[in-house]
Amino acid sequence: MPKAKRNKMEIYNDILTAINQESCHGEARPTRIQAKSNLAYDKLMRYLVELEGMETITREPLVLTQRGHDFLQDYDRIKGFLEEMGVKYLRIKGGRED
Amino acid sequence: MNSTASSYQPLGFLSRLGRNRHVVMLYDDEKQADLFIVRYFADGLAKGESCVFLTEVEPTPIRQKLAVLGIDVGEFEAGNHFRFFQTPRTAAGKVDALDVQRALVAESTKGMRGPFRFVGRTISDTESIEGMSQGMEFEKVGNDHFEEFGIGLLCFYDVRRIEQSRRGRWIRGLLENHQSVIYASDPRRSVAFETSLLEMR
Repeated sequence: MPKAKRNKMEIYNDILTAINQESCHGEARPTRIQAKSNLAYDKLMRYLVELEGMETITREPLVLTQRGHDFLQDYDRIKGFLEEMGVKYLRIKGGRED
Repeated sequence: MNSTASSYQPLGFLSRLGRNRHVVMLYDDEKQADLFIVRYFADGLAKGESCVFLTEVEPTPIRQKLAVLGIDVGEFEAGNHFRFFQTPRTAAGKVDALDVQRALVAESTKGMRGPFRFVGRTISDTESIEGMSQGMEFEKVGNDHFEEFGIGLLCFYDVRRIEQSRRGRWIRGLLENHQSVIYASDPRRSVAFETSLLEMR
């Protein structure tokens, strides 16, 4: 069965949630984050670079920053807004297919 | 945790906003929208930027409202750091949208010193299909050339007054043609984020 496509926000949410859960049990390992977020390893690495650039994580150790916690805290609010507006994703330049 | 300071709630988001960003504010709560406009201007003025409020109506009531909310713009107007600039009602109907927008930026900032921060509505008629169609084209041209303007711009639209039969399509178009969005609603629902988060992967 084909994987359901996700927008960038949903992928970030899956990765940040996985890091948050894993770091509660000790060190968050990329292989565990990869499995939980359902991404190929090279794609996960690319997203971790983006998330670090957004100041939502640090890489060593792999943990959420305050901004990362803010994202998880407000994710439902963002989703609620999009549902109310009837928008799921945008056709923006630079989007890539999984 | 102070939830109003969160990076994805409008006040926190505005305080982190860099220069020359094209932002759309969609609102269904006018008081919240006014607060965010005041914060946007106050942050710009505190950074030494010059601010322009584009309006189709006589600005006295807006000046009074801003004063009530904490910015005495008269003082900044006197120092040439703040200006109301009255625009024609339907700029979107003009033939060359890019030329119109270039001229608007040049005329409205004449004699002021940059960097510049604008607030205004690019689409004046949001309640008809024709008005929204023309306006979306205007927004797209502006967004495609936004870097060359060298300004920050906060466009604001009342979502309740956006043409209803194609509302989802209009809102999607607005999000596609701005770099960031602020939703000004009940404080429990207000949120702000970069529209690039909605790229499909």
